[in-house]
Amino acid sequence: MLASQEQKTIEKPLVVVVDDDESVRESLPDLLKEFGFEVLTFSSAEEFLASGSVGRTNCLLLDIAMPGMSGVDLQKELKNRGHKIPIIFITAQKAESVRKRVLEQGAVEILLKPFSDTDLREALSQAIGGR
Amino acid sequence: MALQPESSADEALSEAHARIVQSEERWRSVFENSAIGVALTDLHGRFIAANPVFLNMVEYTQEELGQFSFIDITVEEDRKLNRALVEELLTGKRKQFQIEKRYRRKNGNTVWARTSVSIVPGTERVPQFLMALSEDVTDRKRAEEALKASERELSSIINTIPTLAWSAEADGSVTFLNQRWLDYTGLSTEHARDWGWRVAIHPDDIEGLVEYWKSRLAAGEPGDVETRLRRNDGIYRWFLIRFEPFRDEAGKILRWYGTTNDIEDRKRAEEELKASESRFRATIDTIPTMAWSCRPDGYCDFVNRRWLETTGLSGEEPLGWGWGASIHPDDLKGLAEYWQACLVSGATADAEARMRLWDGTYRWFWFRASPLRDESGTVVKWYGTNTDIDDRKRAEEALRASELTLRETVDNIPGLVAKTNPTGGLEFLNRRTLEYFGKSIEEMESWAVDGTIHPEDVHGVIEARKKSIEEWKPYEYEVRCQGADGTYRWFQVRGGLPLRDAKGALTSRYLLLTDIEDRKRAEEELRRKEDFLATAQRLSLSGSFSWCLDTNEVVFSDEAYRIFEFDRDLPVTLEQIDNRIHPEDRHLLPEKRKEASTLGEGQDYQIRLLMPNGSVKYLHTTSTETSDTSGRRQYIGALQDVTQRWLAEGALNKARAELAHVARVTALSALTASIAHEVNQPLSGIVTNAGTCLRMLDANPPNLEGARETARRTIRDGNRASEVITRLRALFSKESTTFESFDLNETAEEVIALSLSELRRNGVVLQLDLGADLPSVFGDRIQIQQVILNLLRNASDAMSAVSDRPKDLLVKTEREETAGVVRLSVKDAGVGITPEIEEKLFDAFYTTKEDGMGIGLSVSRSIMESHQGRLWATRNDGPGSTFSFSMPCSTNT
Repeated sequence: MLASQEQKTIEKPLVVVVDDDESVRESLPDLLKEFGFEVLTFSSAEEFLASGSVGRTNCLLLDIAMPGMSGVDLQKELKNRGHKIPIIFITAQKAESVRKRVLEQGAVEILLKPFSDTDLREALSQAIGGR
Repeated sequence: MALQPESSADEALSEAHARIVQSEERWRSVFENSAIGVALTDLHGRFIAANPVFLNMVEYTQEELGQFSFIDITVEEDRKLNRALVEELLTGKRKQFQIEKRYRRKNGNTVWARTSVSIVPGTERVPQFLMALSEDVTDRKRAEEALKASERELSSIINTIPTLAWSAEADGSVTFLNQRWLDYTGLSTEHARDWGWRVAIHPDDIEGLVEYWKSRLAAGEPGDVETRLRRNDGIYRWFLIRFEPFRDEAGKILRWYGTTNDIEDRKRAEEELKASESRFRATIDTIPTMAWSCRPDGYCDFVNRRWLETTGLSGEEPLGWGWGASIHPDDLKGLAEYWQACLVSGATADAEARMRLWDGTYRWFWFRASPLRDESGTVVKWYGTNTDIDDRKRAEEALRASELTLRETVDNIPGLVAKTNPTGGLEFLNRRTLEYFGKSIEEMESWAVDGTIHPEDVHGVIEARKKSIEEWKPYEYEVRCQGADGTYRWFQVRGGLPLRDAKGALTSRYLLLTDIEDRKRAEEELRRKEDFLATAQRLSLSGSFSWCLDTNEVVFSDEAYRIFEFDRDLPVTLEQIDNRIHPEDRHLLPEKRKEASTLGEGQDYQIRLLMPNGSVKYLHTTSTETSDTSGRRQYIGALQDVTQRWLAEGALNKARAELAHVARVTALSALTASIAHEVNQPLSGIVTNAGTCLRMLDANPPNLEGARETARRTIRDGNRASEVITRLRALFSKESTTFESFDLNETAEEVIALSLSELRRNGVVLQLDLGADLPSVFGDRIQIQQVILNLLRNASDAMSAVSDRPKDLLVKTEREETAGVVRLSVKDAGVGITPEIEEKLFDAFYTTKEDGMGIGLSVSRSIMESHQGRLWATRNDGPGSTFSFSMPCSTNT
């Protein structure tokens, strides 16, 4: 749902941000709220999985490089668990092979930091709009 | 007895008888008693009467005879002459005749008769008749015949014998010359006889010869004379004429007999001999030695001039036995006796005696004489020399005297002394020698075979001895000798030159044996050590040298020669060394040398050599001052060819620099990634926050609070980003390494600040324990920061998998126990390092990380090493490991 349409009666979609980068967890939620989303942030994939919010996550903003379970691992895990959550990867890595892999695995988009808010909005609408 | 008339002749005879009856008795008596044979015949020769003697001679009776004529009983050969003579008688040619004739006796034998026949004139009553008086000369005739026969034989002998022979009358007139004489001279007997033979004598010799001949004749003495006789071809040759008188029983000389023999060859030989004798004499008189000759009986017949000059005798004085006057009275008897004995035995004489010189002094001389023999071995002459041996003699006496004192000395000197005779046998061993070997001199004689000399050394000893004789050198050899206790010890045997006596025979020699066992051992030890040293030097490419400051004499070891590429056979000079020094380093040497001679301290420096082929050698030399054995100042030291090391270091340094560069680049790229990350974060924040800010402002109503917050965040992030850039600029502004003093704590803090966010992101719990009052360190700040960075990242990575404990990271700085060294350590609580990993940890390109290049630690280590520091890892008591490095303080350099 676009931010211009205010549907306060409908529950706002939940976007979960999973990134070990503190500044990301600091800055993204405000932007997403502006977009009209509900936001939850986790600093690791494990935290997210253990949070119980997996079921109602509408979209996942996922960092790739994280200590412990990586973004890619989480993607696989969710798939294994049968969750069909649209994932948008956000990463500093530019590697083409990574991009190809995650897209093959069903990721919606992979955004390169720093990314513009416009790019984010597009990706989000693709992810959630596609539902 | 009275004759009985039987014929007419007898009748006449009776008538005659009747006439001379008176005297018939008388004449009959005569007839009958005549001592010789008388026979009467008629004119025809018929016997009339014969006396008893005649009858006896012819062995006929009167009656028998009456029947014959004298011719009948005459041997046939004589008849002709007989008849002829009778004929002459009858014809009146002669009145009488004598004849020697043969009658044939009745028994057939012949008898020689010397018969005188005459005609007896007739008387009135008695006719003529022949009267023959016959004397039996048979014996005489036989003797004559025998004589003639022997004379013939003699004659043939005389003419055949190979000598010219002749005989002369008592007055000297030659009556006989044998055929040879005649054939040789070509003269005939007629020409030569009496005094005719003189024509065959050489004109120059005739007078002398005749005189001599006459004198001998007069003296009645045998003689011999040499003269030249002319051969039938006119050539004169020398002959020896010998003659003797032949006497009768009364002593009267009847004849002279002589021989003439060709002595030409002998004469020539004699002349040749005379010539050579005079040449010899001239030689003998000239040679500078006293020489003389004697007859076989010892009678001195010649002394040379030298002899005369030396003794002061003159002319004929020494001849005969006169030379005895110059012999020392005490020696004369002995010498004379000895001389006599030699004359008798014919053995070479060899004696010593004192002779008196012209100045009255006596000196010892060596008399030596040897006989000259002819073909039959008979001595014909003695030749001798006298040689002055006075000095030698005195020396001998002195020697004999000193030998006694020597023996005492020799027995006491602290060495083994042996005296060997020319064949190597032992004449003498001093007391010490006998004591050492524990044997008697007789037992020692078998030294060559009984093990006294070590079997391996025996051959060498004998060879050395032989060589010393052949080459006339002193004798020196080292042998092992077995002492009384059975053990072998090394000895040096020394002997002097092999001397010979006047006769050329080898004299005895003294040998000195010196115990060199200890020296030998020391030598071997030294040799071992030297070999060891030489090998060590060779292997380590280091040589040793000594330099005497006072004389500037330089001695190099073999390896030093090799390093400098000097000719091993030539001594080393300072000049040579200077020539090898690399032009760019030439200034160093005088400096160092001056330092050496003034300061006298140890030296340690490096210098380059330029070899003839243009290659460069790096030399590291260390030396120290000392004094040599004579107390002179000397530097002894070692020099090492460190070219390889230098080059390797150079290469290494180059590689390190490259590697460092690569590492820097890698680090850079890693850092870049890290930086990118560092910058990226604030950038992302900025972009996001800015976007948020705009939307917040766009909201209805605008969210000013939110916008402000986002703007604040933006500025904050912007600052953070620029900080990183600033740091980076500082980090990468320098390209090359520069060493300087800096504060390690500060430097560490800077690096930590740079990596803090990353560390935090990794969940690392950072603790700092930076030592207070840490001294400054000396090095390249940037490089050290690289190392610290490397360690931090490694520590962080090591803890990435850790989840059950805090990821504690401790950075600590402190002084080390060793003064002047500072240490920084990074301790993590990670997975730690296993022993296997520990080994390879610092290897280039070893990594446990998936995306690691593995050069971090190896580069870090080489950086530390180039800082004269170390980098190492240790395992913690708890989990994880600690990586530490140390480096020198800046005050240490």
